[in-house]
Amino acid sequence: MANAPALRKETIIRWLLAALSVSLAIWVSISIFRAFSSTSDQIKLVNYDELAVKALDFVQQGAERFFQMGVLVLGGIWTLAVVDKDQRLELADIPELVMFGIATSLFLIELYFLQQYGDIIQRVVWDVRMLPGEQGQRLFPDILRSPYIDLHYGVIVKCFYSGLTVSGFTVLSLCRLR
Amino acid sequence: MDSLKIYGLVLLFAALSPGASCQVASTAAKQQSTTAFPCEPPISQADMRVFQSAQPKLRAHFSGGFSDPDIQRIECEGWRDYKKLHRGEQLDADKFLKFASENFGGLKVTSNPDGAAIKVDDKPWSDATNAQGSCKVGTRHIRLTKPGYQDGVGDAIVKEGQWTLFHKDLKKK
Repeated sequence: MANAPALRKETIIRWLLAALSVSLAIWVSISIFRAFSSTSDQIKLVNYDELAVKALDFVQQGAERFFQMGVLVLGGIWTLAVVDKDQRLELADIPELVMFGIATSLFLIELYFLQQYGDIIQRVVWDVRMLPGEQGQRLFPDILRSPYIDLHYGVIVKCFYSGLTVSGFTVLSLCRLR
Repeated sequence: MDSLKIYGLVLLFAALSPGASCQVASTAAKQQSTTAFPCEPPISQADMRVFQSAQPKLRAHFSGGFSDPDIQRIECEGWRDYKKLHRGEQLDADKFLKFASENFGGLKVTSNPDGAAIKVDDKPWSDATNAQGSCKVGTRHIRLTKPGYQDGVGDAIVKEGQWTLFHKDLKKK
């Protein structure tokens, strides 16, 4: 027992980071599941005007930025962990493999929900064109205050920032702690 | 830097390849037109197979109160919108089914007295009655609750691009 090799400080930190990443992934999964099981598919409607359309443009630009950043970070981490000859993952790097897998999954979930988000907005804008208001005025989906749209946006934001954090852990572990 | 270029090329190839394969599919589709399709314009044999494999499930999904012309309208408009949105892609029966049943309609929920909390399919709306909003098409189970009153429960059939009114007179306990 006295001869057992002492664990290196770096190894402990690597495993701690991996555990933190797993906890983060579990928290994201549970919160997404809970949000979907408690949020209705309600989309509020407002009177059609220029500002409502402008809000849609802003929201789409925001989603576009999340897409670009997501692809960029995902590309970066794959370049480092798979392509780069000096830093690439080995089968023995279990903590880094776990973190890499979680980061990739989070970004893939983010990209999937970005697509869903775009589809829902596209579809609801298309379908609402046939719903007249009380006075026969045109209506438009309330992009900023609709529970169903917020639900998807929330998932995107959560997955992006969690993915970013886990990517940071992975890079730190690969380049500095291994 | 070289690895970044390789990554960029892989992404570019992935983005371009589905469009390329579907161009071939759509050319083949144009060559084989059929007249058995209930909507205009007629579609190819390949598309017809996709449509026919999705149709029974679609009919089952909308069987709770939709009339036959309504279902046919959903099928035709759903198909047209689906093709428009998935132009150049391989058509898929399950995707079409999901698409057609995830379109949106309007739901107005009113009660007497107003101010009752609304739950649609056991999920709360953010507004109390009288409220209106858009939600997915299909048969929706609605529950209205207000302290001091019995719950008002019932179903509403939400149709694509149409308003559906759900009203309940709440009885005192």
